[in-house]
Amino acid sequence: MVDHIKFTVDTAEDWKSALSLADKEDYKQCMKRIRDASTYSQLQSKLWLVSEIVNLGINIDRVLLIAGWYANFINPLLVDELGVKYILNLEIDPDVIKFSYKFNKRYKMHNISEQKCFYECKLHDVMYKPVSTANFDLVINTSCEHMYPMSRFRKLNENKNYLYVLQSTDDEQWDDHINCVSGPDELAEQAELVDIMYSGTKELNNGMKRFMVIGR
Amino acid sequence: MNNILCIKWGDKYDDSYVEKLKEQCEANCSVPFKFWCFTDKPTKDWHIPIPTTLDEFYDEDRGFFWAYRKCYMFKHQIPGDNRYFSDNSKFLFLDLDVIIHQDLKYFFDLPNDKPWIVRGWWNDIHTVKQNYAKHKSTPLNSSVIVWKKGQMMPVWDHVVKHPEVVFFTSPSLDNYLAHHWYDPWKEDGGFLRGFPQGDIYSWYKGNIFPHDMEKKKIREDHKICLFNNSSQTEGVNTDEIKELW
Repeated sequence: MVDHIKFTVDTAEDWKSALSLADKEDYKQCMKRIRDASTYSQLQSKLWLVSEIVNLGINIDRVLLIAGWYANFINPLLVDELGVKYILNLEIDPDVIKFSYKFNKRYKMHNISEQKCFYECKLHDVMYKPVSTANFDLVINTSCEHMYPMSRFRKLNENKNYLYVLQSTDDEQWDDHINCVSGPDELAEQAELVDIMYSGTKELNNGMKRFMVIGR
Repeated sequence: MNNILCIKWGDKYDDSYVEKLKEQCEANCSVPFKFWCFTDKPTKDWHIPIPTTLDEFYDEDRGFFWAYRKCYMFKHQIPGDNRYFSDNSKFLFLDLDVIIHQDLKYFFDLPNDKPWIVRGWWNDIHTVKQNYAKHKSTPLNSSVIVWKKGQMMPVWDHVVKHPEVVFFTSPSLDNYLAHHWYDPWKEDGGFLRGFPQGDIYSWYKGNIFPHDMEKKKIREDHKICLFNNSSQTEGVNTDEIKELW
């Protein structure tokens, strides 16, 4: 079980750099969201995700994050625990791009040969356009409750046989939870997964029930 | 040819709103124009029946208020209607709940390299950006839109290409337009351009954040006052505007 994140000196430097940017007047709208992305529950759900991938013993080099937000927790976990070499995060919020690069600068250094992983974050709404970059071993979407069902993504990228890790919730109290599901079965159904390798539910520290499915 | 458009469906507004808007336009426009009303109950020669092709994609039960019927105006040719607008036609759309203070000629004289829409200057841009990914706090308001014929076709094309996703994801037309056709980070860089500060203000929200935010104040040096109010229960209209007609 993966139960912690490695807080290295490079990680400390990157996170300080992100927080310094949030101190600036032009970005003052971002601080609350950074706090929201840095909670016990956020880390809990990412540790759960990576633990289950480790349990399944799957080799993963290239990961696509859908709406991966700042990727402040998931990236170091993917790199340190799974040895992931390339991560692409597709987001719809221009501020997120700037901050996710700050949080993950160590994966975007000048000398690629010395990096463990290469990270990119791009503006791209996956429900309107197919993914143009080459194949990925794993597609991670931990924000399914915020968007149209994943069947749409599959349809737009139908020639690609991705492995998916999806998370969602039944917590309907938030306006932006536009696509809550009743449980992992409905989550898998929405994504039209046929080969399900993991399916589970976890109550997070903030009381939210999260569902996760892994499959193709 | 200059055209002024409005749209009325359902029971939120009674016919007096259309008549009053028409009257206001006739009293406040120094250039020739034709007045049209898209309506679900056409009875007059200046009424255009609202098409229904998008109805099947709108799910009322989701609780979103999607004024998707406005999108029909953006098409080259109105579906199911044989009225023809010449290629150099200009359009000014007005919501029914507006008060016109000044000459509408201003809107037909604007540079027409891009369509124009209300940029709600009463919004705090930091809040707009903070809530952008949550599809909340939109900086745009579709109560007044200006375009030349064909200019809004990309919007129509996009909506009809992705109606399921558009209606599922965006809680309102304004929100959809702000996400796909406007850029709050580069306000001059989007497909849509906001009317400048000093043109249009909101009765319920104020004028310009943060220094001119007094609500329920008439500003006759502006061109138009808007009365739509997202904090009202959708479908409910207070008729407060009638006291100011």
